[in-house]
Parts: sequence; structure tokens; C-alpha cells
Amino acid sequence: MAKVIGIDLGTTNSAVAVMEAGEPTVLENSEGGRTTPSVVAVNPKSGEQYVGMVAKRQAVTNPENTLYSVKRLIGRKYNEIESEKKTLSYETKSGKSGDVLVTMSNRDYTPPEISAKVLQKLKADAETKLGESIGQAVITVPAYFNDSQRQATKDAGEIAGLEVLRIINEPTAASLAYGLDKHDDEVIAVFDLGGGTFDISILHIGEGVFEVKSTNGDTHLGGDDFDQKIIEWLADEFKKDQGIDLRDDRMALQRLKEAAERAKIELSTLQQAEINLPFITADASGPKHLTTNLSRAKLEQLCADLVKRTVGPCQQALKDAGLATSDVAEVVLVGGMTRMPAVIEKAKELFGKDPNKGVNPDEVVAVGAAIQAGVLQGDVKDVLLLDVTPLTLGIETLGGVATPLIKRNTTIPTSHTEVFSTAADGQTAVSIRVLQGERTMAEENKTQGQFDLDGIAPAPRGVPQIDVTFDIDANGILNVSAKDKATGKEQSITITASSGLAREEIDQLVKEAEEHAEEDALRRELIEARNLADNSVYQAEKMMSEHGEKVSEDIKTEIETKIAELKAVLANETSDSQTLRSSAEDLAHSLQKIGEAMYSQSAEDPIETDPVNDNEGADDEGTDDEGTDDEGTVDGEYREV
Amino acid sequence: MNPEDEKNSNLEEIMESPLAIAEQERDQMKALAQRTQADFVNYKRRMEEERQLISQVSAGRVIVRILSIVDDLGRAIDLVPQADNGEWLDGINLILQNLESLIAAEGFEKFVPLPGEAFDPGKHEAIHYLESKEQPHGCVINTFRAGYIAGERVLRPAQVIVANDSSK
Repeated sequence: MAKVIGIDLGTTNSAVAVMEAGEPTVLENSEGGRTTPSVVAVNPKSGEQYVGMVAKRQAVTNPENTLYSVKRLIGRKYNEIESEKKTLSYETKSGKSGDVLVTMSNRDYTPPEISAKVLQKLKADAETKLGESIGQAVITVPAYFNDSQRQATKDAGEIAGLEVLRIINEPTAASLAYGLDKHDDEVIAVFDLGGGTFDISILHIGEGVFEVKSTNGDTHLGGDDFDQKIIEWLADEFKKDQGIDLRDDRMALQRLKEAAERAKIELSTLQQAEINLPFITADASGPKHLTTNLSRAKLEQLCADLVKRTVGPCQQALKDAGLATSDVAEVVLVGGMTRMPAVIEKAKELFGKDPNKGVNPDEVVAVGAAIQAGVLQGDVKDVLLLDVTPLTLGIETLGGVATPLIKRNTTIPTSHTEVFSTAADGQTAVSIRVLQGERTMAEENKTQGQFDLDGIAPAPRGVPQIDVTFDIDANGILNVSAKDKATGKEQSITITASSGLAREEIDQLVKEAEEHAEEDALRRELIEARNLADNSVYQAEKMMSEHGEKVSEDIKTEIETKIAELKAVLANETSDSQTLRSSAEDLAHSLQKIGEAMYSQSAEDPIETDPVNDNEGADDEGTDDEGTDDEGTVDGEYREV
Repeated sequence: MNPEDEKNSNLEEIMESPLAIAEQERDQMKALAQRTQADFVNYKRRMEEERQLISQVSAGRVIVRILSIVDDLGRAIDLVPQADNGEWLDGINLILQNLESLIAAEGFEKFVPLPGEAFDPGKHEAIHYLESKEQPHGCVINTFRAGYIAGERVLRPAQVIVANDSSK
């Protein structure tokens, strides 16, 4: 079944997303961008058409034939666009029945025909990315669009070769992206400040249905206005300082624009942005540089009036909906400018709630459209709304460490197998203790169950290979099994999702783990260092017993001394990980002399040697049964805790 | 239909429907499983293709940020006064060369549109449109900022000034 794409057809930029195995994914265009400028142009000489970023790049050379912000015209009559016309650099005229026509290279087009070109590019790029043909789409429109504007948008889709399954409202799509359709009887405020327009929508969600209670906004307020404030400030400061107005220099202005946009973006995460533009211009006295710092506080001061322009529409929207700030349950942010802390603060202040976060505000509408597309396609059924395992699952390994097998928030059903081994020579049984939690030490996590696997063939430590498999089915039932690859003996345990931890408890456990993260990491590091040191002693003693006679007394003594030193460090409970590691490295370094001696000896006197069995990679396992001899192959017992 | 037949027929319907329902559900689940598996396989294939791009894209992101510094260094060198700065200037030139070599080694090729070259919005960004007697209409007068390309992918378009012959 072919996919249905979700399209955010924006005034300035557009985006496409699609559902893949129950998850929405934004698709990159052919230039590698996740958004595509809603710009169409034609070269009047060659007739070549451009769409997207390429169209934008030639706009300066071809303003009359470069069409942008066509969304402002779609579905409207010519006599309705008086104020819009003034902001456009291309020609508009009245067609039959008073519809709007736009002109490109002496040919008239309807706005849907132009929007169709953008949609065609989005469709073609999506097909290339997905490797399959696309025939259907869900397209979003502003909540305030009337029937004519909606129909015209649908027409644009049809012209582009897309069957438009549904036209949905942008604020509804944004709410869907945050799963707010699961809420009931709640008021949602969608605050959309993007490329060139500001829209506020008040929605009500009830029984899975979104109702638009009111809309308001400012049709000419967006990111470019914020950039312009910074450009003006930079130019004014420079003029004060150097007496030169950079606005008169096209090249300098270009650099100012780019620097302004960069600084604006930086100040969303930093308190200060450095702006250095060497050789920005020159006069008789030589080259001039622009160097300044823009603080977040200063930026907020410069843009205060712009942010304030969002207040009136928001208050009016609430009033028109007959609601108060306290009635709003959820706030959703849309558009790149909502990354600015001052804008987030204002939205929070206006609606009294922390806005929903997590979805890229440039993409949230496309994501919501994809979710709707998935529902219409039949993708998103109850069955496909897969669960996740809320906490990490693992087993206890050597040193009392909790070794994870399935990380928390892994989508289920899922299965994971890892190979473990024994900790002591001749160990013939292992104990599998199943843990749930985020902490590093086994004792700090919850034990879900425990069982033993007996009958492992006696072997040096680290040699046996035991497959431990964690398998969780779609209902959250965990099956843990351990199988000795050599003997084929297997034991397992089934753990039902008994605890049913509440969201708050899970969050609390995760928070605790984060608070103890550093201390846990240090403990883990110490245990790993101890295990390494212990293994180094073991390997060194083994090497010495097998090959000790091949080396000189000096080397032998050196190695034995190093082994003794490392043992002493191990015996000392207060030894830190650095001491353990450096002693182990010291010993390893000395051990190399055995290899050197053996190879130089074999050069004089060739001797066949077996390859060293390196078990460094296999994890070791803690066990209760050290060195038990069970030729009688007693079946492993298990108990569920 | 006589009542007995009707009753039997109804019974058959009642007995059939759980099976029919189960079969229907099975078919739906099967289709779902197949679709999910197909999605996964396709996603894997796409990720594999993108993985090969990713390291280049990541390097590209870092390099794009460095490019403006390369531009500034170039500007500085171009504007060095014609005094005897010999060794000092040579040193700065070498630094620029090292930077450019590093960028080239990452697979990013610098290109500078030449005067007279046709303006191509696929690779160029027009930042000014000027009357020109020297260059034909729609051609590059000069390049303000070099562009960089990686294979077929334009990492950064070249910024150019384009000739406008308003008589045309």
C-alpha cells in the first residue's frame, strides 16, 4: 500500500513528513534540507523553472518572476488582497470572476497552480527518498482559512498529482504531533510564530475531535523582523563608532544579515553572542572591522515591541472564545521563532502553562499532518501504538554491577541476547539475577526474579559461553533465558509486568539515577578497574605457569614482583581505579617481555605455540557457586521474587 | 425457506462468524506485520544510504562554520598594504593554504565563478544585480564569496554579483 504524506504548505517554508512503522519522519528534500522555501520562479530568457532554495537564490536578479508568499493570495478575490499586493515584488491582477492571478514571465497563473509547483517538488523529493510512488497527501492550512481558500489548496494538491485525502488545520496538526488528541475536554492554545506570520488558535479537544474556538494573529510578523532589528542595531552602532552607514554598502549588508541571523539563533541557547566581521568596509584611513557583543538581554530589549505584538491577538483570541487564561490546559509552540526564550516566556505568561516541548517547532505541523495521514491510511490502529519498556532491564554481573540488556524506552516487543561467561576457574553454575532500574549497582535496582543455570562444563574462567536472552512480548511479559552453548543446557524464567509502576514513580527513579549518575559512574569505573586488575593477575599467573621457563630469571622476577604488587593493590580496599589500572598496565607491559623472549627464541629455535585464548571481551558473571563439581548435571532451579 | 432451514441457516451464520471474524483479523494482522516489516526493511535501506552521507554531512556542518573564517582570512590577505611584509605575509598565506587543504581533504571542493560565467542558481546565490558594460546580461560580474561543493551536493553556494543589462 502506497504511503500517504503529510504536508505543511507554509507561507515562507514547507515541509513533508510520513509515517514509518508507526513513527512520523520528516523527509529531506533533494538539497538535503528538512524544509523547502515556498518560492517559485521562472527564468524569462530560458524558460527554466525553479522551485525552493534554488528559486530563492536568484530572486535578486529576477524579482518580477519570483513568486513567494503565494499562500497569502490562494483562494482569495483580487479585491481582498489590496494590502498584500503592496508587499509583493511581482505582478498580480484580477482574473475572470475577480479571482487573483499572478504573472510569471508574461504568463498568468492562478495561485493554486503556483502552490502546486511547490507541492510537486515536495512530492518528487519524497518519492526519491522513499523509493516509491506517492499519490495521496494530507495538507494543512491555517485555521482561519475559509472554504474557498481550503478548496484552492486542495486544487493545488490535485494539480500536483496528489489526491488530497484531507485538509486539516495547522494548529490541529501541531496538537496531534504532541498526542493531544488523547486528551479530553481540554483547551489548547497553539502559538505559531514562524517565517512571516503570527497565528494564535484556541482549540477545544473533546472525544477525539478538535474544535477551533477562535483565531487571531498578525499577518506580517516573523523571524525576518527579528533579524532586521539586529541589523539596524549593528549598523547604527557602527555608524556611531566609525561614521559609516553599512546599509549603503550592499556587500556589507549581506554580511550583516548573515551575522544577525546567526547571533539570533545563538542567543536562544547562550547569554552572549560575539559578532566579529573583519574588513566589513574601508575608508581613506584603511580597512574597518565590526566587533561587538550582543547579549540576550539586549536582543530582548531590541525585539520587545515585536514580542509585545503577540499579546493583543492572544488576549483577543481568548476573549472571542469566551475563555480565561486559567481555562487553557495545554500550550503548543509552532515556528522557528518560538525557540527564542523571550517568546517562550511570553507564551507561558499569556496562557499560564509551560509549553509542550520535544518536537522541532519548524516541523511540528508536518509531523501532525503525517500522523493524520497515517490514521486515514489505517496505519495508526491501537495495535500499532506500541508500548515501551519504562525502565532498563539487565542482570547482575561480576562486582555487583547491573549490566543492562534492554534500555528503558525501548519499543516492545523486542528481544536481546548477550554472551556472558564464568568468573572463576571450574565454575559449573551461574546465577542470573534479573534487575529493573537505572542504577549502576545491582543492589540499588529492583530484582524481578532469579534463577540458576547448572551443568556448565568445567573450564577456565571466561571460557564458557552462555547466551542470556531477554525477550519482552507486546504485553510486557519478560522471558529471560540462559543457555550454555557448549552443553546446550538451558533454563529460563517468565516475569509478568507485575509492578505496574505509575508514571510518577518511573520519573522519580529516572531522576534519582540522574542525580546519582556521577557517583554511579565512579563506582562502575572502580569495579571495572578491579575486574581488569583481577583478570590481569589471573592471565599473568597463567602465562607464567605455561611459559615462565622460557624467560630469564630477571624477567621472571620482574613479572612476579609486578603480580605481587597488583595483588596488594587489589587487596587494599581503598585503592582507586587509577592506581588499579596503572598497576595492571605496568604488569601488562612487563608481560610483553615473555612474548618478546618467546619470539626471539623461536627465531633461533622454531617451536610451535598455541594461540593465546583471549577472553578479555567476554563479560564475567557473578555467581554464588564457585567451583562446584556437578558431573551429575542437576537441573537449574529458579525462583521468582 | 421453512423454519427448520431458517434455523439451521441462522445457526450456520452464528457458527461461521467467529471463524470468519478470526480469519479476517488474522489477515489484517498478517498484512500489518508484512507492512511493518517492509517499512523496517526500507527504513534500514534508507538509513544505510544516509549513513554514507552522514559523516560527510556532519563534517560539512563543521566546515560550513569554518568557511566564514576562511573568507575573512582571505579578505585580510587581499587587503594587505603593498609594503614590504614579505615573510610575515607569506606565513599568513601558508596558514590559509593549510586551512584550504584541510577542507579539500574532507572532500569539499572550492569553486569561484569567473566573471562572464553564466549565473546558475543551482550553485550561485545572487546578492546584487548591477548594470554592467563589461559582462553580458545574466552573467557573473564578480564573486563576493566562494562556493563549496561535495560531489553533487552544494555545501555552500557562491555569492555573486550578476550583470543586469536593463536594455534587454
